[in-house]
Amino acid sequence: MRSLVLLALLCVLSPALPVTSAEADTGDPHKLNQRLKAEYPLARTQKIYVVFDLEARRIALRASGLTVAEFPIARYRLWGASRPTASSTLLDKKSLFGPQRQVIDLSEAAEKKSTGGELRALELDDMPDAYQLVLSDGVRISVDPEPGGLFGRTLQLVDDGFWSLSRPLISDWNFILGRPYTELALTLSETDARRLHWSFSEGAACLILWPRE
Amino acid sequence: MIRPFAFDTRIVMENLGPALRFLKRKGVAVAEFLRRFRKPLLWGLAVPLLVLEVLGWILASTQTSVPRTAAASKGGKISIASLQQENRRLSQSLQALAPQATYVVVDTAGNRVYLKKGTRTLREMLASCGSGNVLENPADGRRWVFDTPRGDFKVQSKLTHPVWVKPDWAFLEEGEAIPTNPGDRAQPGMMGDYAVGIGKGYFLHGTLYSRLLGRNVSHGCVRLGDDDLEALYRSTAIGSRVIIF
Repeated sequence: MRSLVLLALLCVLSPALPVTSAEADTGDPHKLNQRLKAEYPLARTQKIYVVFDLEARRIALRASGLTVAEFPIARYRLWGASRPTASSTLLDKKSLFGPQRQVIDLSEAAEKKSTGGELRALELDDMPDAYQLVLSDGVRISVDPEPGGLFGRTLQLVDDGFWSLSRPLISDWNFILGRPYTELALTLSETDARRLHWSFSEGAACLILWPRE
Repeated sequence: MIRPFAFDTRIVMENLGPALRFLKRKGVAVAEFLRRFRKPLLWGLAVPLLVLEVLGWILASTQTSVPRTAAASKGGKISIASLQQENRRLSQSLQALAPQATYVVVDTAGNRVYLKKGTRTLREMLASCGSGNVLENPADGRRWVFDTPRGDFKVQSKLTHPVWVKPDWAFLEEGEAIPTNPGDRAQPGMMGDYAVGIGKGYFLHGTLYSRLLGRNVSHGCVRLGDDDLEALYRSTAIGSRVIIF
C-alpha cells in the first residue's frame, strides 16, 4: 500500500522534476531565441552554413533553415571563455597534410585523354581527418578522428593529459594579449571528419550552440 | 671509389661502450645537479608553473562574454510569453525560407543527388561532381578551377537534347586549337537527353562516362545517369531549388 502511495505521489510530482535532456533544452525560450536570431540572417544568405550543436552532440550542414547533412559528435572538450550564440566565419583550415589541387599539365593532358590515363581528382579520401578550424571570433575548433584500438585510446589519454596541462598556459598567454581564449575539440568518425573538412569552406558561416552553463 | 655511407657493425660496436660510459657520466652529473639544486629548482620552476596552471584554470572558468539570457543582454525583463511569441514568429520566418515544393540536394563529397520533398527523400541518385583540378593556360594566363559551386540555387533552364557548346578549357585539355568559328564548338549528344541549368553555365546533365558515376571527375557540372536524369528533369520546374553542399 505504502509503495502504491509513493508511486502515485511520484506520478503527480514527476512533471515538476527538473529535466535535463537535449529535447528539454530546446524548450528554453531564451536559448531558442538566441539561436533563431543568430540563424535567421544566415538562412537568408542562400549559402551553406554549419551549426555545431554541442548539447545535441551533432553538426548540421544547413541551407535556408533546412538540414542537408548531419554528423554526430562522438566526443567534445571545451576550454575557455564562454561565447554568445552568434554567427562567425571560417577564416582558415589548418592541417599537417592539407589537400592539394591537381594542376593539369597541358602537355600530358591530351595524351592521357586518348590513352585513358589514371584518374586524378580531389576526392573525399584526400581530405585530412585531423585539422583545426580558425573562426572569425577567435574560437578555435580542433577536429580529430575517433581513436581505434588500444594504442589509439592510450594516445587519446596522453593527449587528454597534455590538453589539461597546456590549455591553462594558453589561456594565460591570451589573457596577457588581452583576448579571451576558447577552444573546442571535437572527435568525429574518420569519414565525418573528412566530410566536414570538405563541406565547410573558408568564408562560410557557422553557429556554435554552446552547452548550458 | 668513395662510398657516401656505409653501415659497419664493427665500428658501431667499438664505439658503443665509450658512448654508454659517456652517457652514464652525464647521467650521474645530471642526477648530482638535481640533488644539489633541488630546492631552487622546485621554487624557481615548478611552483611558478603550478601558479600559472591554476591561474589559467581560473581565467578559463571565469572569463565570459556571454549575456546570461536575452533579457539580461537588453538590460530589461522580457516576459516568457512575449519571448515565446517572438520565437514562434522567428521559427515561422525560418520555415518559410525552406523549399516548399520538390527540391534537389547535391552532395559533392559523396557524389549523390537527392530528390526531396520536405524531409522525405523521393529518389537517391549516383552522380559525378567537380574534380577540383586546376587548368592554367600559359599562353594567356587564364585559369580554371573545376569545382562544383556550393550554395542554394534555383533551376533557371530546362533543356531537351541539349547541345554542348565546348568551352575553351575543353579544347586546351584535349590539346586542340581553340576554334574561331562558334559553330565548331557545338557537340550534340555529349550532355545526354536532358539538362537542368542552375546558372553561370552550370548544369545537371547526362554523361557518356557512366562508369565514372560516383567519382569526382566533372568540370563543375553535375553528371547523372540516363534514368535518374529523366526523373530529375520531370520532377523539377523552373524555380525549383537546388541545394549543393
